[in-house]
Amino acid sequence: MVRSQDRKFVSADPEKCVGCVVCEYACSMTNDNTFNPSKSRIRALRLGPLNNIAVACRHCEDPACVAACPRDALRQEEDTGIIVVDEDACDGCRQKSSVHMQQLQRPGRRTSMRQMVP
Amino acid sequence: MFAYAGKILRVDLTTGKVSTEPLSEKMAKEYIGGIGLGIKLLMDNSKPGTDPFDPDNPIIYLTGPLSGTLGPTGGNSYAVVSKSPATGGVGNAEAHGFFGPDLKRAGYDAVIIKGKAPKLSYLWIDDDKVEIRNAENLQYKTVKETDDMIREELGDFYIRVSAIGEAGERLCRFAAIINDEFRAIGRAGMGAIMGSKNLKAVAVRGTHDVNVANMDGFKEFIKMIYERMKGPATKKYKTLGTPENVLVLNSLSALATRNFTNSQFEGAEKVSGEWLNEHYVKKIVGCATCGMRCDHIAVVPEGPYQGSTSRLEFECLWSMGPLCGIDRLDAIIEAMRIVNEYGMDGISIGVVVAFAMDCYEHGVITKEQTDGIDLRFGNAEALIAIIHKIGKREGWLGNALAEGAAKAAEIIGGDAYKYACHIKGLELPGYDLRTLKTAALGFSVSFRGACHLRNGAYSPDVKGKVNRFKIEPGRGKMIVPDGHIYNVIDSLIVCKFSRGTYYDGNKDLANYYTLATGIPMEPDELNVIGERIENLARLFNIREGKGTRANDTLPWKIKNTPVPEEGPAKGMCVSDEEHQLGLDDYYAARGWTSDGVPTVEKLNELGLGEYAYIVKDRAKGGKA
Repeated sequence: MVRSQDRKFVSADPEKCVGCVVCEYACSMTNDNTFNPSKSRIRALRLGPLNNIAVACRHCEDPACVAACPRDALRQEEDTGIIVVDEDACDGCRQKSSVHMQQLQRPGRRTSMRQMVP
Repeated sequence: MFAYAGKILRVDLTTGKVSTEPLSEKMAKEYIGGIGLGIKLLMDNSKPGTDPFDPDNPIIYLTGPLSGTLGPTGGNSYAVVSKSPATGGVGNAEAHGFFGPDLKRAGYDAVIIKGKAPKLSYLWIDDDKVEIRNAENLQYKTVKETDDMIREELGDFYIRVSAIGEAGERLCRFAAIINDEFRAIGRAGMGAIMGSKNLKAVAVRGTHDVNVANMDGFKEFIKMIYERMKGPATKKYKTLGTPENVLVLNSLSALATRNFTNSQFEGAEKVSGEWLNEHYVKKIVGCATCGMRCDHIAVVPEGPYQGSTSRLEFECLWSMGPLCGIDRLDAIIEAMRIVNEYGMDGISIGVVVAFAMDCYEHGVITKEQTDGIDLRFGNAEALIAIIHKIGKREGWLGNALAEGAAKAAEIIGGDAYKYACHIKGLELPGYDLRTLKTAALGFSVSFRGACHLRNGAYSPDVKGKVNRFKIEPGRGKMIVPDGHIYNVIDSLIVCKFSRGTYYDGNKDLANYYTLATGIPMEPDELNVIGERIENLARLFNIREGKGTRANDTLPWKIKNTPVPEEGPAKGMCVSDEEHQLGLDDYYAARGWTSDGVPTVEKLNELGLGEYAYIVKDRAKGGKA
């Protein structure tokens, strides 16, 4: 298994982020060939005009979200450490057990990651 | 259809009935979307002479064909069209931010709202599910509070809300609709129409895909535009922002000061873009899917308004600053914040307050009538106090001023009309028309009243392309093409700040449209569409009795108060003679009669023959 410190994930600098959500559109464009931020694996948040940040899954070690998922829809791949969502199993219950968003990997449903945030 | 949702939503607030109908490809191509489609739907869905506040007056929310795509600025937009309570003619405004794309993803190109809800309500559009919900708990809440409470109630942080504040509920005739805290459907009083319908907000969540016709081509194209947005064409908006205009206009004697008395402001330095950025701007943020970033978020660091935070653009800075003789940016930022809370047009409010100050200084209104507020020019505390009164319609004066400058002047009576700076009922934006005379002509013929966004006629003046101190033959013809482009821009609903990035003008815009929608579009066709929209708007105004030569006027002060400062502009004002000459020139260039009425031939040429009945009895007097 890839060591957690070697796993790659996207992080954003809140000092630089302006909350333009271009990342969300680019993600759905590249991965799904459409424009739909609710399918994006990254989420830009604007908590206030001066408070912007984009968040993506960090593929944590011992991920709390996988442990918390009531439908066992989440699992961490052994070799890569990537967290994968079983779309058929996920009902988008958005349990806020993790500071990161457990369904980031494949949020095909409206209820999934959009509603994860406070 | 690609890019378009292909669907129009109809909501009757009186009966609660909701229905949808398809948007035809023909109508989509002929009117594009945004204000073009909006004016068409307004024309076809309202009866002549309907009062703006009558439940039968529709208010129409629109997206553009690009809304919901990654197209820079086009992707994040929406527009609202209705009959304006300020002008009695076409009311239209556009806003960017985050609301528009969700409306598109929910699946609507337009939402036509009619009727009046029995109780204060809000409209909840959750993709295909549409619901009218009780909003009595939101009465007189600020825009921001309304936004927060609705998202809380519906349990989703990412719902987008476009709402009115107290001013809209109290039918202030320049009330705005605001989304994302400070993005406004600002002009022409659209917020008051919402208030008249007991409609506090429209909340939307859209999760459907938006697909374009040619994804590879579209991707290439928008990448190019994003790159251009990093370049010189948008530099102003990314650096000092529009407040850069303060010192530029001041040096041109075009910074209208103390209600169009002076054309230069001795305190300009202290309210300049340079000063604002150095002392107040904390961060520059942006709308969704935009490569520019222009929202200069200003925070007051100290003093009585410490902590006050607002976005500030030139027009509002000007109207509540120099126009009121105020040189304190801390107070202007606070005033802007309050105006956004009440949900008012940041331009009109300043012009209305300046009008009241002018009346006060000239003894037309007394200190008793202001309830003790010392409404002198330059009194920042008075500005803030009177904004509260207007927002709440408190006291005789607050109530009168909430009617807008034109109607307030009638209520106040006497010489008040001399100080009301408006065209067709809409207050002037931040350009001194006495020293920018192409702008004077352009603003006077705009279909939504005094407006710098209907034809950009200030541009040749400010850039020194013409002698801006007089209206000469040819000036009317000069402003016609820009009007068409502006109509197209507001129908595609791309941001006007981005207009410099379409290096090839209509060719770029036509390409943009075709790549997204798959509908063939030639650059010249866009011109025709722009002209069609202009003529249709004029027809609506004529139908409502507001659209002929008699309505294309200039404010009393612009015509009668010469610029007092020494220098090349001294003594300038717009004479009736040169203005009439300009009108003749403009009408001729448009193929309208000398009374400013489109001819039947013109209408047929533009595919507007079905509306010929509106002009049949008026097309006398021959061509201009």
